[in-house]
Order: sequence, then C-alpha cells, then structure tokens
Amino acid sequence: MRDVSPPDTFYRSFDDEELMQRLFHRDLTAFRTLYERYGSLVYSTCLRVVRDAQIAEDMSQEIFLRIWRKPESFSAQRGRFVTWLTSVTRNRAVDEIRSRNRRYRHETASPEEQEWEIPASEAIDPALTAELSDQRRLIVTALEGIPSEQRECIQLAYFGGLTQQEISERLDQPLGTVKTRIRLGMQKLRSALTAELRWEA
Amino acid sequence: MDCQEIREILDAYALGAADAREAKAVERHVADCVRCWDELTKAQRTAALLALTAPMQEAPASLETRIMSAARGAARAGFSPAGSFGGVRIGWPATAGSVGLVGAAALVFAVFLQAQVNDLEGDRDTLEDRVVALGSITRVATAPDVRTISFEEVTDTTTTGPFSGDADYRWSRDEGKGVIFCDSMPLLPEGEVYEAWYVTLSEPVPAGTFTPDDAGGCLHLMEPEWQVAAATGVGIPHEKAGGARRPTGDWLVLAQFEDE
Repeated sequence: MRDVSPPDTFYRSFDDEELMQRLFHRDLTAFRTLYERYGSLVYSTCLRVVRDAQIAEDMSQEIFLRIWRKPESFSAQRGRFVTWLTSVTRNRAVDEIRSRNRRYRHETASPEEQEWEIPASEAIDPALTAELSDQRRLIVTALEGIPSEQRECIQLAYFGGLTQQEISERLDQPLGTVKTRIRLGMQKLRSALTAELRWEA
Repeated sequence: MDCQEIREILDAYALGAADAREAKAVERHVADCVRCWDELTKAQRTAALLALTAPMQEAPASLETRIMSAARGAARAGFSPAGSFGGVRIGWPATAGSVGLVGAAALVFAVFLQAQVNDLEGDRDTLEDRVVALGSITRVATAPDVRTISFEEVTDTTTTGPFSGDADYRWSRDEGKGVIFCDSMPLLPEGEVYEAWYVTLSEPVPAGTFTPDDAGGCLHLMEPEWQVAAATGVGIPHEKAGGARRPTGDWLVLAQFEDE
C-alpha cells in the first residue's frame, strides 16, 4: 500500500480551504490533515445525533470519503469549510435517524429524560484544534446564556432532528410557542456571537 | 411570503426544523432577496457552531485507518467516479448555485494534470518532456470520442503484494491512442512490464506497455503499434514479459468499454 506521510508542519500551516484545493491534486496528506483537524468533531457530532458508536463511525467515514471523492461539493465562495462540513455532518446524521423509522426518538420520548448537557466552556479538549476550542467557548457561553426552554427547543431541532411541529408534540406546547422559542433563542445566539464570530467568509 | 414572514422562519430553517412548505418558501425567497440571503447565511453559521456543543469524543484510531485506506483505494485521480453518496445532503439552499460540477470528470482531470504540470515547474530538466507527455495524455483523456473502462480491485497473487489496485483505461479512436491510469497495481518483478490489449471482434491487438511506479501508480500514454478500428474492450494478461505476439488468454483483468 502506498504510504501517506503524517501531516507535518508544512501541511498544518495550510488553512482548510487551501487543503481542500489540494484534494483536486489527489493529495492524500492534505486529506489526512483535514481529518486530523476535524475527524473528532465530525465523529462527535454524528455520535451526539445517532447515539451509536458504530453508526457514527460509518457515517464519519462516508462523509470524509465523499469529501475526498468530490472536493468540488465544497465551494469556497459559499463560506468557510468548517461551516459547510458541520452542516453536511449534521444533516447526514439527522437523515440517518429519520430514516431509521424514528426509533431513536421514541426511545427517548420523554424530554425530561433527555440529557442535553453542555460541556464546560473552559474545558480544553485535545480532540479540538485551538481555533475550534475558542469557537466552542463562545457558543457554549452563548447557549448557557439563553433561557432553558429556548435552549431545549434549539437542541431538539439541531441534534434531535425534530421539526417544530414534532417539538411541539414532544413538549406538549403549542406550535406557536415553539416557533417563538426557536426564533428568540437563535436571535440571541446570533447577537451574542456576531461580534466575535470568526467563522466568517 | 414577504421578508418579514421569511425572517420569522429563517432560524428554524437554518436549524433544519422548518416543515417542507416553509423550507420551500425560504429557498424560493432568498433566491431573489439578497438581504434575507445574508440573514440566512448568518443563521446558518450560528447553527453550524452548535455542532461544537456536542460532547467531544476522540474519534477511534481505527476510524482514521479505515478512512485513509479507503481513500487510497479511491485515489484514482481525475477519473474519480461520482460515487454513490446521494445520502449526503448539502446544507445550503439551492439558490447559491449548484455546488457540484456534475459530469465534470474531464475538467477535474484537466485540473489534476494542470497540478502535475505546476508541480514539475521546479524540475527544469524533465519539465519539457513531461509537459509534452501530459499534454498528449490530456488530449486523449478528454477527446470527444473517448471511451472508458474501470478495473477495480485488481489483485494478482502471483506477484509481490498483497495489492488491490484500481486502473482506468481510456481510449480515443480519433487520437489513435489510449491512456492508462492506475493506483496500487500489483508490483512487477524487475524488468517486467504490463501489456494491455485491445479486444476486437477478431484478434486481440497490443495496446502498449506500462510499468507502475513503486506505489503501483501510473499515468501513461498508450500508443499501439497499429491502429485499432473497433475495439470492444481492454484486457491485461497475467504474463509480464510484454511484447508477446498474442496474449496467452490468461487475463489478469478483462473488461468491455462502459458504453459497449
């Protein structure tokens, strides 16, 4: 088998978009560098949604291989790579649980039993790059700062893959209430993040 | 829906929580409304950050091994097949213009070759020859009448290995030449070469010889000794000597062109 040298300082000095460009050159070391940066984030996001380590692994592999085979799926004009990657990952994971005949949702039918713990914002995580750790500190702080019922709706939508209608049924709250919670919660997150958000194009 | 109504559901859309009718409305609206488009982009960036609030787990080491090994297997530059990953949905609305370059295999191939050319710039001695060769390869591989064969998981237990390689063969009758691209092909004993043959309605016709590099990779122009009018496929025999008058009939790989 062809050996791929581990990412070195040279490759680590590339930003994500430069590494993606190198995938058009079929550069396996560039690909490996991207995996080194984001493998754990993709895996953890999948795991959070599907709650099954084996499925999370399979999905992470599928997502990364798709990037390798079709780097043109990402368009740098549309924004930063990491934003795109997390969107693709979350959507893929949610598609998975939706297609798995909603079993996961019924297993965790009671919102009170659902654990939506947020990691401590100060925690330094070896699985994340320094930049991602900074970003996480921001979003965790912002998420902690909004009312818990807004937070819950946002988490049920993002990680639980529920529509607003489904959230309203799950929480036994009027649909209008759920819509308002999501809108207000997201607006607060956005304004809390806008000043420092570096995930800009 | 007007801007006000759209703004009310943008955040739910960015979270993937809008219902189908609302999602359609948002996508239709932002296609023509730059300001709502900007708002949506901000909402999507915020939503993307939420991924970071998942408890972080280090991906198992075996995952990296699996992914890198599969990527190597798929590393057939330029000929990279579309793959069957239809399940992955891109999180952007359709308005941003199609994100894919559907059917752009030839373009990707040209980009790859351009990269090869660029990489060679520092190597003045061989640059000119190599650029000429790559130019010929590009011409054949992107010829309007080009036909393709993909050989997958080529294994040969009679040589050193174990290897499981891939190869693509492209043939242009108008150019009178072919191109072989291979990755992780079984290695050859010293001094031996692979020989490819065009399969025709009568006798097989030699297509040319090629030698993979140490990693089993190759990108080689195949110039047959005489022109082939109507090949239906390509075969590579087990024999590694090359220059045989005709193949023994013991094929390592044999396949028809994809359009046959």
